[in-house]
Amino acid sequence: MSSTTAKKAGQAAAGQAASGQAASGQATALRDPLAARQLDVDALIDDPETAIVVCCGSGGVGKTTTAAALGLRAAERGRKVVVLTIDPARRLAQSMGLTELDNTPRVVKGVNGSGELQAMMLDMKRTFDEVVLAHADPERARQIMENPFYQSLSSGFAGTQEYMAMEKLGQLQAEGSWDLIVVDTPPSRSALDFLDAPNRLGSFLDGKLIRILMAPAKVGGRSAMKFLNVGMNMFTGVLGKVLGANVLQDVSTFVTAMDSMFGGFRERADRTYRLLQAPGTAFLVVAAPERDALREAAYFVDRLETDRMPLAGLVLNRVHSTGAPQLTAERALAAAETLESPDQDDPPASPSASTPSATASTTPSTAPATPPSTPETISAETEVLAAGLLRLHAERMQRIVRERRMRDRFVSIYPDVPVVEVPALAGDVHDLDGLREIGERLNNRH
Amino acid sequence: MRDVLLTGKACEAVRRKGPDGRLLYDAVVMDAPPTGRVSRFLNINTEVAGLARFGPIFTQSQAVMRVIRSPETLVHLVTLLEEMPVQETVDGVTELRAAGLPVGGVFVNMVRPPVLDEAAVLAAEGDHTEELALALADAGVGTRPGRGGTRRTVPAATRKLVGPLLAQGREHAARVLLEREQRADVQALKLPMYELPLLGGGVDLGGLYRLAAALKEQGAA
Repeated sequence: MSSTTAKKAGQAAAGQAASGQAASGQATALRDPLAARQLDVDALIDDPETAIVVCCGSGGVGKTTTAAALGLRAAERGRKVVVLTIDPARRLAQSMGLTELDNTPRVVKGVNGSGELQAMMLDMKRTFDEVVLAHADPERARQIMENPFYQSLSSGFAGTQEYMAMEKLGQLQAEGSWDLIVVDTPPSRSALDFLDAPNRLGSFLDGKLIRILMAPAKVGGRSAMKFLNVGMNMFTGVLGKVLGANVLQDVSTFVTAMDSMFGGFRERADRTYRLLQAPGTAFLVVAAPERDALREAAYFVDRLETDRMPLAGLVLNRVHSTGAPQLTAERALAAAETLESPDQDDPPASPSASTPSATASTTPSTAPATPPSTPETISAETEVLAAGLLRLHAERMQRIVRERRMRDRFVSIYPDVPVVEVPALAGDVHDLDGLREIGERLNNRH
Repeated sequence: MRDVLLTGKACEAVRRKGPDGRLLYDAVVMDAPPTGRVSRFLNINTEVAGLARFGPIFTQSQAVMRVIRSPETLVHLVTLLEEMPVQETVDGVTELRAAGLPVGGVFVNMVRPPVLDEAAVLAAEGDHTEELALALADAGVGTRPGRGGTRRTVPAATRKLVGPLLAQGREHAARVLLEREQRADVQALKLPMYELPLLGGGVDLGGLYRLAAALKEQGAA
């Protein structure tokens, strides 16, 4: 394995766009892609030892669709599956019956085969409420849930969504009703947020600041407010001036009510974390052949190794291909330009323009395999068509070259990570049929 | 916390004065989180103000909210001609309006040039294989250069390309249809709409200038 510094340089290289390279005149001939280990998705989901599959990666690469497609395919291949989604597109959510907002899995209708598929969409606020209700007596729970600070916190301070996704995963696993859980992760610019944010939130809730605020309230049963005014605790005195006394009042009340849960938040996050490290968990890093997505994927791969979490492989979505790889973008563009420029010297493409004596002496049988109805002229319309198709092709070739460069950089840095390339679809996936199509593409060997 | 700092910093930049006492910047442009979270991002100051009802943080949040809700602020939405981005844009506009935040225009990004679309649609209708093969051969595709002139026969190498090229044309036609639908959905919002071309080679500094020129031409800036 390369040293850390070499790896970091490589990561940066993996993240570099191919911008400017087309301009620098490099030919867009397609060489063979770098050989990579093939990720066998069916083998992964068929394996009874696989209990949890987590789909991570930066936002916008098709994580939710991949997770749903995997869940459906596993169910249709006989497993009892639950899929936890975070932010599915509306139409897909509707077709999977995910519009019920009760924060529990529901059976997905229309699934073939012997297995079963349930799915749910994470409601982070409800999940937070569930944690509170599970650990505090009803009166305390009510106090907490009515507290403005809690309300703000539970509806989306940074990290809440990630924390609650982890929490929900822990709950589903503890329930034991399924033999495979597929987890989608929240969309964010940084793929690592999924691993980091829960700890940050957990630490905050269990942490020092809150304990400082807690302390005055504990001593002799006096309220925190008195201590703030007296300034016995210098730190809270200053804080009170900056934040405003009522913030501290709210937080202090919140904290007092949460008393019995202390240590609980961090502990729960840690427990789920250990679940992620256990055998039976598999991480799939989802990316697209683009700079930002692959850079995040690279960070994630490194982090999984550091945290000893099992990486199954990379799912590379939205990959383009062509049935005419032998035609380079340059040749296609040159030909398009030829077709588009007005004829200057060449006579129109018509047989009567060629040497009359030759045509007089040739017989039909000596003409090399011409189809029966060779057109005499090429219409302007066809020339426009030909030019347009050539330009389309050039654009596709340029895109493929860029994508392949991105992919090859990743593979050269991480030669041991199995990869599966999923061809780009024409439109979005709206329904189970679309998910099945993705499932097929995840398993086609190229 | 970071969101509060970001919006705070943007508002500070708006109010910053130069050495001559005049406002330093004519315009401050801020990149925001993806559409799904934008009204939350912009409203964060209301929440903080709600929490901290006195003190400097309250005052700060009030100031920030004043700038964000002023007639000098606009929230623009950037989208692609694809289903999910357009859906999120439509939802985003609804959300912004409900939150009383000022909506600007919609910027449609990565638009492909129209000339290709005609060809693609033509390819999707009718069968032009033979004529097409001839046209390609004539233009030197799949043939050796220097053997130009008129052709009555089509080399095998050229013929092999016809099928794949047409298939790509048809795929593109399907995409064009989808894009037309998305464009209609965006137009239905009745907001100023601007289009930015797809930069084939990726975004570099030259590309940025091209995009800026396109925006200026359309009156966006």
